[in-house]
Amino acid sequence: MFKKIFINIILILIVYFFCVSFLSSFWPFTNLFLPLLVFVLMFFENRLAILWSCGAGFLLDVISPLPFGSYLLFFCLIYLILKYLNQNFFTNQSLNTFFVLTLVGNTFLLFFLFLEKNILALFDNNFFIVFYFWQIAMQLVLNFLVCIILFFTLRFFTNRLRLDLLPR
Amino acid sequence: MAQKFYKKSFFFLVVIFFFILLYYIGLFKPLRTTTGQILKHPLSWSYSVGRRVSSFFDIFKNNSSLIKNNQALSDKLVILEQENIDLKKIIEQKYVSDEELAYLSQQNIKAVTAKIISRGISGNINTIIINRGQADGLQAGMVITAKNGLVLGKIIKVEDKLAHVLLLTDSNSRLSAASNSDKTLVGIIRGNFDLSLKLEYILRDKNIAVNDLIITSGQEELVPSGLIIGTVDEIFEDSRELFKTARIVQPETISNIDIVNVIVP
Repeated sequence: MFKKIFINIILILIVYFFCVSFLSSFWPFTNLFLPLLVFVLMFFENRLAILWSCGAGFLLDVISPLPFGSYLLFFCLIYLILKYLNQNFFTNQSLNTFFVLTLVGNTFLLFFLFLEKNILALFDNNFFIVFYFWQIAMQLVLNFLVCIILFFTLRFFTNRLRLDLLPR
Repeated sequence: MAQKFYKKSFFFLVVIFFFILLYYIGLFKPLRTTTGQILKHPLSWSYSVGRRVSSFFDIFKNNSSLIKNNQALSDKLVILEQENIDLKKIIEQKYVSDEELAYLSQQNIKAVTAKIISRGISGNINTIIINRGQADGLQAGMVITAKNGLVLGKIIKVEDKLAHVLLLTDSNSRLSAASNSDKTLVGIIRGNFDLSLKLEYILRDKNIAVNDLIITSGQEELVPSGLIIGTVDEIFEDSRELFKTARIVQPETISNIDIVNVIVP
């Protein structure tokens, strides 16, 4: 178990450096943690999903201009929402489910950030509410791309995944 | 089953809240500072690698316009070489560099060199994060400059070892500016659609011309006067308006820059 946790911490750090620093040097910040969180939640252990949500939240909080704990709390809330949906509504391991859960996660993250920035803007002039539509759209496109890559990579190794893009 | 899930979720959230509470009490503050300190170097390295990769692809992207640009630049080079010779003569005669150094030390203008480590994660494309913070004497309101003292943005938030900078091109950015040729001509620099800059609130009776150099006015507490912002590209004048507006262009953009200076007045 400790080996798994250690490997996952390394993976979280790699994703963190990739999207916060490497990708952001030529592309606006894109949150790639969400599809990975959904991926771990759907196909791996629950404990690892908690590790991903807490790890990603904490690391993003280290360099975030928002008050400490914002991303940590948002990621944990998103984890609980996705877990609930995955247990009760989107229970099969298909590409559809993967897309829907990623979309839900993204929507909730944007909603939480929008809510917090609105509240902070009331007290602090340095917080302005800026959301670029094309940036949100590109974030979704990139997240779906990551979903496809992860899904088909895993499908290559195992037979348990279903490729249902449309309901029968 | 559902009740078990709610119970577990509640317990999980309580643990998270407790962790955040301990941070605000001060117990976990060193954890954040230390993590930030450890992550600073790999972040900086990763950013430089990203910049190198991006500049490699820029060559292919701009290939079609390279020949045209090359011709234009060759023509410009002849004129600039002549100008360069003239300027060298002037510098030699008047010892400008010595005087400037003396002036800077007289004005007590200090600068802290910083590295860009990220473009910011706040959802705003016009913010950057630099690897210097409160510990290096930085404060919110200070400006960052790049090559030849060109002002690029203003610090909006300072952490212990990091600072968040809002670029001048952002629509929310404001900076008091003046003309280099007429110091009484004062206006407010503002981002224009996140691409260029606009100099607003120029009094109608003030004369401003294309190619005029725009500098900081020094009216802000943490911003010294005389720092270059850009040159006037176009002037907008309406007889019904009280003020004139000018579009300002900057010779450098942040996408080409890795290292910046924070002006400490």
